Amino acid sequence: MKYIITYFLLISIAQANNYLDENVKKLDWKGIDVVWLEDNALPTYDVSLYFNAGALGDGQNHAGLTELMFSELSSGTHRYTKKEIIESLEYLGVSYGSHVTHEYSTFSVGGLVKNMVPTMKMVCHLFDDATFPAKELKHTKRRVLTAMDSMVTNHSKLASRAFRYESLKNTGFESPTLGYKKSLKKMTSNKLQKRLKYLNSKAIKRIYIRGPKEVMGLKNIILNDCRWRQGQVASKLPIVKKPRVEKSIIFVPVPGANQAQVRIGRVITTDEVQMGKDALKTFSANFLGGGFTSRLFQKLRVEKGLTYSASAYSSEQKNYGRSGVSTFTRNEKIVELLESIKKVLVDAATKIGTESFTLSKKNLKGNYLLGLESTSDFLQNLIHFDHIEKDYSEIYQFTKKMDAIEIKNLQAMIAQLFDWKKQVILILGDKKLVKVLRKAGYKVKISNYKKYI
Amino acid sequence: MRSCGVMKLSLLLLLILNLGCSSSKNADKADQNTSGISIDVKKKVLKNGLTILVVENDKLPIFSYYTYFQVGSKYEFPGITGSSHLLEHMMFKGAKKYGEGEFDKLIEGNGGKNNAYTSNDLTVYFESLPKEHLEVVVDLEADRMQNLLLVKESFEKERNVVLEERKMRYENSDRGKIYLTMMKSVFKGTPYGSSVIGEIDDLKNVSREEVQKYFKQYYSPNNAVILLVGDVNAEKAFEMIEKSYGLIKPTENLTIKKKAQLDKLGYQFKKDFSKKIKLKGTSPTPMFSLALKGIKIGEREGFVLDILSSILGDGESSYLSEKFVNNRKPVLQSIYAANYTLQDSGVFFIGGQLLEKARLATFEKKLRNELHRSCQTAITERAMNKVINQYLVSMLSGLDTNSGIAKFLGDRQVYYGDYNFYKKELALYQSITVDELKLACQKYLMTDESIFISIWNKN
Repeated sequence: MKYIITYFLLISIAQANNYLDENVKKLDWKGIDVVWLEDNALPTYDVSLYFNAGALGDGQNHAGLTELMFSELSSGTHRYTKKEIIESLEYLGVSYGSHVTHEYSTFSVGGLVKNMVPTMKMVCHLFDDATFPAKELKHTKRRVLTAMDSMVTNHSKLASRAFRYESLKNTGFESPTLGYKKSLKKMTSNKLQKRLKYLNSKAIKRIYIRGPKEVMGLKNIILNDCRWRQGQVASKLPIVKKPRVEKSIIFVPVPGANQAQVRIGRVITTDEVQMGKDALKTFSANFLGGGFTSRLFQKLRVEKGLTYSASAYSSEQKNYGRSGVSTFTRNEKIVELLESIKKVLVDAATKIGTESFTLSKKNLKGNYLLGLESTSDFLQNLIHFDHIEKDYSEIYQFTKKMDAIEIKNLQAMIAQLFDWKKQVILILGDKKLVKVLRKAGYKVKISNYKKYI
Repeated sequence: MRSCGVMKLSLLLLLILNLGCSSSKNADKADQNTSGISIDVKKKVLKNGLTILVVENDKLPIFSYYTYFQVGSKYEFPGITGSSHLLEHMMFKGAKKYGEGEFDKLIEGNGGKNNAYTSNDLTVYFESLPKEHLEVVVDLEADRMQNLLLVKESFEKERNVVLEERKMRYENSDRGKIYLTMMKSVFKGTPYGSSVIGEIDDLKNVSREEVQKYFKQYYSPNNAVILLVGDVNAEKAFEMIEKSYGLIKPTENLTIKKKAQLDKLGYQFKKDFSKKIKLKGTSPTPMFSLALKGIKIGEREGFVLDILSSILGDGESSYLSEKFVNNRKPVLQSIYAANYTLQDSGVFFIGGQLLEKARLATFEKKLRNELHRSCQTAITERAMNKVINQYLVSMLSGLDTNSGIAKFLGDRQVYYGDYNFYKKELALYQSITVDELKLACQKYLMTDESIFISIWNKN
């Protein structure tokens, strides 16, 4: 049975190979690289505009600048008011928005092919002529500040935000791409204008398109209406040398919590990113917390009934990555939860049985194939591959890489990424838990949640 | 080795190209397929009442398998609230042939993924796997439909898991609290008056035997619909499914039993529908929900209210957004409107959050005035066409995966009794007139019968 499964998986991936060869085309539109994923199944299209400039370029004290610039792109031009812009785009049924990471940004547009021309003409007009009217900016800032203040009602989101800051402190990657209240207050139309100008003229751009042949009609619009020049400025990314060592649990009290949010993890350094082994890193996270049969899910939910959800992750950009565990539990079980996680991580670094190893491997290989199904998601994968300078052929090689992994490799990677002693631990919840944790022998540092918003 | 085939969804592009900017006002056109979507579905109903729908799609060598059980929280009663959802959790905990832990091991070990969800009306299970594992999935699903174990020890653990889920979704979230309170208040005294997640005391005390009884009553082939979409052969799939499910006995008199359970309460809204509820929360500015009486799914007025809710509160350019968020003196951080049509009732609601320094009482008054005014000023041909364009994009957006197609068809089969309903759906929306919308607006929105709920740290 085992061999049959492997055989079919190989066929599946091979079919994916054909899919790439036959449907992904690389083009050059006057110096701008274009990747077209031909998809004739539906009369819809997606366009993603890539810029090699992300939140790292926001500058000191201006965290959130790139995110805000993209969200204010539709707030007005010399020709149109905000009302006219959003009305015309929404009338056409267009979905649009940005995705800003620390290392790069994308602005994506999607809708019906029949409406593609007026839509992209408007989008290009926004990039070419956005004025970021001060009055609109003032309103937006007020809305964003209220949303940030309200984060105290979303414990999971707040815990993840605080954890980002603590686990990446002093790496250059610690600020959230959305910025802080303090930094947002300093934003002006002029600063947004400058950021857009940089993206238009200096950032390296690529265009990713999914859709039928008609989408090639976008060439003239993008060249003539966006009036982009291909930039030449390579992004300067910080080098992350070593993970933070923090011996105390960082505890963030919030009012009215009857559940504790737990985040455990660390930064993946530049060296660790550059050593490759991406399949092995993904495997280590999947083995620990990648599904219903993963170690953490089995221990924390199935065996002990401590939580509803437990997951582990390992993800990378070009110069840094993050690995960790995310879960929560009722207040009275916080110590048991921590001890259980510790046991899972320690055991997995030394004792992995053949059965669970094989199951997790097959799971990851199959899910990789399922992940190729949605063409919109597939396009996003291609963007990421180009950003980290990986060849698309790596998509074909995932199964091969997975097959080469042995138990000892997996144990070693878990020992490296999930070493209990090297993790930053953050808990967000009722302040009474501080006493409980200290009584159980943990060192605890208290940190106000307002520091993170 | 063959290359990837073309999706077997024949999309009539020409029709789509003509759609959008001129919505037809001819009610005769309500039966035409103006969406341009045409999905080749093969259907079979087994002798025991099990409905099976199959779509062959060889884009990739994978498939998705959905099982809809037509049971949700509306069939519960005090003492067992939350049982449909708890049962959903227990369905992954082992059956006679495939014991404890086997389900997830077989799905994930064969490279697949699975999950489930419960609503007021339905409980739905789904899996996606490489195509060669169809037989395993069919066998697993047939096993748990007839022979669920409900092992005592795992039942007790899962009870705690659900209590944790309840805290996460509702108790530690102001948005969750407001939604839960709204649904319970609007549908008080009707089958929809118990929340899907269940009351804390019921979750702590419901017995394994009570859940077992509930399972036996509602988990039967004549209360289920299976959707299979992917690289499969329909005839072989029918054979395979019939072999595994064919001998499972249907629940006798199911329709009568279901009706009897629901009729105990009926769906009449409470006479005293008007009230204000203030909840204590942690949000620094008030969040609110204004709930009005709605209508059940499938009625023409329900479709009218769908369009009305989109005109009022869907997107940044919507009417209420223009009035309260994007105007010169904004008072709201965000606003939305929704027409939530359930199988037997419905609620029309408007929600959002105030900006700092904005006063809740003043805003509430303005909102009510604006809703009244909207019946004359918000409803235009252009606003309607915008909504229709958005609906078409939304319908198409789910169709690029097997899972999306299965859900698209499954929802229509269980809610409208016809998987083909999508063919006339868009035309039905297009046939709605401005006058019809204005009438519905006056009937449902220009009323004092409403429930206004607010939550923040100063309540």
